[in-house]
Amino acid sequence: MKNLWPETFEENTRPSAKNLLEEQAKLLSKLTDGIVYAEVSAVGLLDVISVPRNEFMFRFDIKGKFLDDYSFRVLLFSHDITLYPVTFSLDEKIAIELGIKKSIEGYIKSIDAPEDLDNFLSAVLKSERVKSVVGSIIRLSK
Amino acid sequence: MNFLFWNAGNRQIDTELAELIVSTHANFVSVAEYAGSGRDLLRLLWQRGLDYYSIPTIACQRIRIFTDFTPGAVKHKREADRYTIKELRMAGMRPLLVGLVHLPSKLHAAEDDQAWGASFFKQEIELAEADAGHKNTIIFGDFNMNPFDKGMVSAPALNSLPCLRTAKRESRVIGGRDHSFFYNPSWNLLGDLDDTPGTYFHSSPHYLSHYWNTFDQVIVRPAIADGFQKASLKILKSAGATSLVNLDGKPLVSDHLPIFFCLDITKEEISEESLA
Repeated sequence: MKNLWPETFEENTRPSAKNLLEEQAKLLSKLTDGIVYAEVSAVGLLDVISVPRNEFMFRFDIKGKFLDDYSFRVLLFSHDITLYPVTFSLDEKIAIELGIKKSIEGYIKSIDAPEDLDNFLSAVLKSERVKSVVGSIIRLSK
Repeated sequence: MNFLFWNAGNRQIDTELAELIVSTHANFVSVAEYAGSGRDLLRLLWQRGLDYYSIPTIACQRIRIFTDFTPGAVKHKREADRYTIKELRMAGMRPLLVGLVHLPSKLHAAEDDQAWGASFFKQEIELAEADAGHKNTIIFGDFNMNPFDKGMVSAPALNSLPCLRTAKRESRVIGGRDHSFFYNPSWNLLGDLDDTPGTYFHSSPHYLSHYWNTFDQVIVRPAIADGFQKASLKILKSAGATSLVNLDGKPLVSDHLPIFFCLDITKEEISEESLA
């Protein structure tokens, strides 16, 4: 029988947006003495009317340890099995701060390569909007 | 419990809002596009003998809440820029999830985009209900959609029906998936029987123009819909002596008219007889 497959398969080692945000979620908790934390969770595609044509969708939320069930959705992101490009749907105020224009699907930013992901997520997490939300959660937790 | 919502259109409306609160005895007031700090409003109410509080905002700054409940009764739940979900817990009352919205405008979002956003918001509501352990949920505000728009009616979106009897089926199954219902009493606000054809007037140059729109709505879960006092739901055209409409009946103070409604969520007493 002929082998139509490649000789070898290599694991995709490119850093995923999910892993990167999970790391940042842990850091947020450390930076705020556990008062504020973040979570990455999967979004069920069947639950929405239409989604960008990607197969994996997640959300990134900021939460407060002492604000029971409080949750602020920072962004949604989705990608196909190859991990890139990653499509981000951002909170409106963060998007405006970052100069992202509104498209028909909302405030969307597409990141094509891992080397651009750090810069983009850094801009999001360092935005005045995120600082204000985290600061408000800390204030209301005291 | 009395509720009031007004999209203030970024105008200074403290005087009119204070009059509305006094005349309607609204206990829970939500305002979108509010230009004030809240202090003047609370001072005006205090001068009228009413002790109200401003609920602090976290991430949803486009919606403000004023209430005569103590702030401790209002718990912060899920939110994003265009909606915030709170839970009210008070003695003698059933716990109540309150979703407050100011969803994207038709000027900046296609109908499918609005429906997509509504379906995400519905998921947030369902997650908040799972967290809270009940479905005593009411949602009101500026949906920027009419009651008949896709985002209000489609099953994966808000799935809100004009008929309470049908909504009381709780949900419908499509393609093996369960889609929960809301009851939307705001259908009763359509048309000009009471000379107020909507909450927002817009003359569009497109072939399809409704002119009057009912973007400011309330929808309620079947679990508490029997407590919704249908006859109380009104579009308000005056605040004390101040008219909120011009001579043509169009909104004057803000570009939207406020809505008011009552919901009874009193906990039913369980008598010893019924326990026997």
